[in-house]
Amino acid sequence: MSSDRPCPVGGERRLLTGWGRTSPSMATVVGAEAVGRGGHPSMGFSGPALGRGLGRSYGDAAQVGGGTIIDATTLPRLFQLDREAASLRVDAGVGLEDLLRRIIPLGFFVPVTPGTARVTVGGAIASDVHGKNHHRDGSFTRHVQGLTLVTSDGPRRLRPDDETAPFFWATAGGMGLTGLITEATISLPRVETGYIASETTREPDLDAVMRRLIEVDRTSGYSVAWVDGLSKGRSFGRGVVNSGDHAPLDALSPAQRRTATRYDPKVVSIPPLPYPQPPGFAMKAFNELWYRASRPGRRIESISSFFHPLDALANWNLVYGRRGFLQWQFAVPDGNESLIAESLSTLAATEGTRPTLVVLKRFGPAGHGHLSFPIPGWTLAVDLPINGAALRRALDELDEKVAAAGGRLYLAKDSRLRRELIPPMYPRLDEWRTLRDRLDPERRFRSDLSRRLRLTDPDPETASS
Amino acid sequence: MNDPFGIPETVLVLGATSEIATDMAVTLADNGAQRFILAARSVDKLDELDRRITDKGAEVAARVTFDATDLDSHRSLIDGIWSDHGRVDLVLVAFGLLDTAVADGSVSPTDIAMVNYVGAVSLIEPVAEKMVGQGDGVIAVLSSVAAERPRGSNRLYASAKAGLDSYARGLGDALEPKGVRVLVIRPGFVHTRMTEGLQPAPLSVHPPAVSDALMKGLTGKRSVVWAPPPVRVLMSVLRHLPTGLYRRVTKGR
Repeated sequence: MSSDRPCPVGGERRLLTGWGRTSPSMATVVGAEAVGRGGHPSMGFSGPALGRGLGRSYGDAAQVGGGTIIDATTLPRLFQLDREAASLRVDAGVGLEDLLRRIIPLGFFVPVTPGTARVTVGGAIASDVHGKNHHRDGSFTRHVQGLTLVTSDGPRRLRPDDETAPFFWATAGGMGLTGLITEATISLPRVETGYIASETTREPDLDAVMRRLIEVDRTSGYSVAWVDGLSKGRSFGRGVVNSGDHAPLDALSPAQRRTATRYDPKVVSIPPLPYPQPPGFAMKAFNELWYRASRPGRRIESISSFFHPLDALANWNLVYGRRGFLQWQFAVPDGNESLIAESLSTLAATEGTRPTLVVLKRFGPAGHGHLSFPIPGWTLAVDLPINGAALRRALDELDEKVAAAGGRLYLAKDSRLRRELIPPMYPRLDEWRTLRDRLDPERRFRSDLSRRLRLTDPDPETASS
Repeated sequence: MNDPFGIPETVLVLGATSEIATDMAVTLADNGAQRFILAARSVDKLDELDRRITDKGAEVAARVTFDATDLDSHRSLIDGIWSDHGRVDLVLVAFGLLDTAVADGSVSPTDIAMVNYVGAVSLIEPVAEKMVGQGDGVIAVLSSVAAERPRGSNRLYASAKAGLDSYARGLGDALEPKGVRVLVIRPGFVHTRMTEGLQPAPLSVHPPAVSDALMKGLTGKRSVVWAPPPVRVLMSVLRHLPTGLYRRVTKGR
């Protein structure tokens, strides 16, 4: 979409979507300078408002039709690194990729990175993102020491360890609905190199993939499994398990030592054309290729190839065709392993549906955010190109099973969940709403997601739009 | 807003007593649309549709009386619907009169143009403004293959639909960069109470085929959809026939 362009402070009407390129809506986009670090969002514009970073949430979380989008990426860059304490104070609009470029040469890493480095610090906090180290380190907001939140009441400093903690945890995973996060202080882990000592295994079926994930989590800081969503019969759920840790300097080859703290991911783009939805055989071929090309064994690889392989193609979201795609991601507690198998077989059997990119991971203990997604157990994420009504119905039915199992869907990925399932999936919703209303009594901060799921206003008729 | 599958949350049906509109509304409810605002000339004829929508698990939020020819009332009607319901994701413009209505003497020839074209434009204009304001939405306009080329017997209906069809496509071009879609639906001959006794044209369909076209239009990216799809080819041929030949093939229709 067009959100990469800088925008004038005065505001510009722009059509916005999430990464899945579905359900566009028009909003007035203003630069974060219009709000300023200590500013006041009600100055200068009226109606609903919402912060937006790099637009990597898949659905409608970072858009508000008819309202004002505050583009957090336009802020002047604050960068205060305390090397002794390993803590960094930055603007919320800075992307993790830019951050990594600066901190890896200084011997630091980000505490948590999702599968793309093209998210902002503010977005990482608002979605309370998780990464391959969730089983060991939890989600992003566990590593945030404090943040500044601007609401219609003005700026507030929130911390997880003082009397502002309830507001901090309403904001951590609060989907930007408590106010605009303008800057944050995060703890950084120290690393010797910009390389990962990784191990790859190929597993013949889903059971083996799950067993392997449990096993590697005992020893490895990072782990993830890619599952072939189109595999059938005896090889149903076959996959590739990647695990690893930051490589110490002495693990590198002499050639690698010369670039030990370099982080310089290579990126290419495809032309922005109206691509057709890839046919089934192409997706099958892609999965077959991924499985075969994943060479088992141990190796030393770069940060970007281990954590962010898809970032190498800047606009890979175009390849799913003009109708776009959705990512369906849920988490369920241990004991619901059969629901993972059932989800994969249901989706593969649904008319016209081809689960293309399937990722499985184990979650460690949950964080404190009221609407934070991770809960201990399993999480499965499936990319699904938009198709007919059969997929819609299949997902609706699977959502109910996820809710019944005590699980939930990830709001940062969602574009279609039925709102009745939000209270069972997020039992602390009412507590969150109370805190939210104290932070933003005028209910200025809203999104298309919050309206669709009735997160901020249980009764939509009272909503002015 | 419309979900990734094109399914709206709240639907306003203008002309809800029409059989085609009824079938579209029930189909939408069956596919996940959640709330309906039903507008018709006489709302007491809506009990049956209300029940069918409710049976599909959706809700009829309001019934609204409107008169397509009462142009002065249209803006406040639309203002009222938006202020009562916050927003509407899909508006179905589905009211209309056939030339046969003139024969029973209840309406004049210009009334056909008044209802099918002027009334529709008068309602769609404020709807378009509301949708631009809310940042997204779809306006689905029931046109007709008759908009492509009139016959002697349907000249009033055909000319009014041609005007509406042209207006709707132009509106779609204007609103596309503002996040609002206009979907033009062109059915062929549809078997309904309104067309009972008329001689069906080739490729005639029943209302569910028109609903299929609507659903295809909502989930896809096209701005014009046909019911049934092959009628597009037929009309393309008919439109280019020399007048003499056209009159001969449509003789008696």
